[in-house]
Amino acid sequence: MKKSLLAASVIHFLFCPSAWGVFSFPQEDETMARVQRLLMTSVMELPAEQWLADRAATGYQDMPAYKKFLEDKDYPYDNYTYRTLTELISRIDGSNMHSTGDADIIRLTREFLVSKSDNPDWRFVDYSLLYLSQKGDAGDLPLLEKYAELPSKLDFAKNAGLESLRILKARVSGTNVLSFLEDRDYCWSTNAPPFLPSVANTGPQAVYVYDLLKQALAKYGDATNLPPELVTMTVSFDADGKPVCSVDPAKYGLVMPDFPPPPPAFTNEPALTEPQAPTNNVPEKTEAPHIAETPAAPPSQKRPVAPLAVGVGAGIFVALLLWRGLRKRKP
Amino acid sequence: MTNAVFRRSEFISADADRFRVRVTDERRADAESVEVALWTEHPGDSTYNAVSRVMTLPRVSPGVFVSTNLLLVSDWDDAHFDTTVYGVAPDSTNRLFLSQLSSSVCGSYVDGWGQTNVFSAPVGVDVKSVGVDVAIMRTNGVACIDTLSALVQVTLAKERFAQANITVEMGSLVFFDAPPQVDVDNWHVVSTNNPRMLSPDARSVVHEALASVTNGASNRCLIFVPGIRSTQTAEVAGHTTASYWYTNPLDAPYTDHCLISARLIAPFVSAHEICHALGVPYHETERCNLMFSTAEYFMDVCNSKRLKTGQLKTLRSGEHVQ
Repeated sequence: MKKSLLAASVIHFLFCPSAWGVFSFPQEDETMARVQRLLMTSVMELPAEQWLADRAATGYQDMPAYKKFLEDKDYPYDNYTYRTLTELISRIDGSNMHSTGDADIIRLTREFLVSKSDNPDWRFVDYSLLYLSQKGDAGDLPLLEKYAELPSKLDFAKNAGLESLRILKARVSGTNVLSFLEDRDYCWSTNAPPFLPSVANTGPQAVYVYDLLKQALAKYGDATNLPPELVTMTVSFDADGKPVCSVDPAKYGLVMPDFPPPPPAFTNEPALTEPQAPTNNVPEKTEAPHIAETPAAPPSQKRPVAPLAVGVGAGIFVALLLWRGLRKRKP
Repeated sequence: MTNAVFRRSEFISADADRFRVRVTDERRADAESVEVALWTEHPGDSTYNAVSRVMTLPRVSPGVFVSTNLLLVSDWDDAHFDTTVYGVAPDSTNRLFLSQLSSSVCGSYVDGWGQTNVFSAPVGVDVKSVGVDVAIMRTNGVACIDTLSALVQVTLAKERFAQANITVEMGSLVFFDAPPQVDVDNWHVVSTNNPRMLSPDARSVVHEALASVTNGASNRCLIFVPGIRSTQTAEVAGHTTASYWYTNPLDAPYTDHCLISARLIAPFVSAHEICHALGVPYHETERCNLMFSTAEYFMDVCNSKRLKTGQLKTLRSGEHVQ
């Protein structure tokens, strides 16, 4: 909506209560301020560098802020708000194969799409459709079918409806949708989705499916040559937390990776915006034996700093007490 | 040139709007190549003419010759960009043709019989139009911007919208006085109480401008004002009263018009704001896109001037485009 030329006093703007009323948040709430800037970029004076930095920095740590805006009673099911935020949510969570989706955001997305389903403005629903196809389930098929049947003057928007339905149908039917592109968002125009696990595989187990399919691609050369049972394979965890595949990987010359499952998405590294599969995959197009490397410990397994700080503080306190006691003993 | 593909190897061949020239000449069935002269002509403005150049068309089958991929561009900077700095398309100087939507691509070919064949084809496919009025604010009788600078904004918008096959039709150009209740140095566009509402001052400014222009309700209005603050502290080069953002019913009569700052004027500000007025809501992260959030003073090939396919379709399907 605007083109900015001057660097602005963004901080003053953001946290001046008289300026924004309900849109003002405490300065210390960095994530809320960032999401606010991303949402309001069309009207605020925001240097491009700040905007780009915000887009790069947003991640799971901002999810509560996204929810807060999506649930804002002042803007119920507002087109612009939903589209802006679900685009970012799709980038953060929708394309993260570890995540089964945020229940609240899935619910809000469903409600938004239902509320607009009679006469949607297609400019604003594409990313909500995308998120639902990434994290939805069989119960969402009727809604996506309705959108796929709606008329539209915009070819690419109509394609968003059709493509979302195609992807969700495939995922519900047990297909692991394949395309190992760097851009993990949908590319509507080229009809090339990223890897999206089947509904049954959506979650921490997806990284094993992803790894096995990458091995299979290296072996069979092309996704169209893969045996169907590999495309629809499922991975689950046994009682010991060990991954178990519905097909025998060895039968196809594949090796089940031995890395530990990543932690659940919403307790994962906050800034993570792309699924980071461990790097001990079988080297592609090589006959070398599979060598499993020990991946770096996930962030949640790292030694926490807080207990250490408390311990050090307690030690200093005890030392002070002893020193004080010794001083008192002096004549 | 769309989608900023100029950085890619052989960007002309990667552009969806590329074209070729084909010659069939039975008398030259054994020839390895033929030569064709190509140029563009604009009926009303010779600055958009591309001078004639001779191209060699290699044979693809006996008596059939086809040119390499060629491309029409709509401004001087694109047509003359420095291939040693940006270029990766061989012979791009000869393969890029300056033109406008009402131009024609022309050519001549001397065939094997010695006959000169001249041909031409109109530029543009399914061309649509958007009407634009210009309203310039006066304070104490002094216009905030000179007429020529305002008209240059329209011309540059015309060049930018050629990639969408949309002509920008100039309507009226008028001057209007600043509303007396508006402090032109301190007013701001967005309401202090609700970021999705126009301020009373903004409504007054747009109202005065619309009351002054004469070309009907379907035109979008470029309203030149001395300066624009979107909020109290945020000075901007342009701001559109976009209907997708200002959803309050009270704002409906004032939506989808463009406020342009005379103080911060830059080449593509009006083109960018018209995109918002025609329904493109979002800024883009690519600096070469017309909807990048920061205005540039430069117009060369790598600056913020391109539109993506999705943006083009949104523009063409907007309610203000005929």
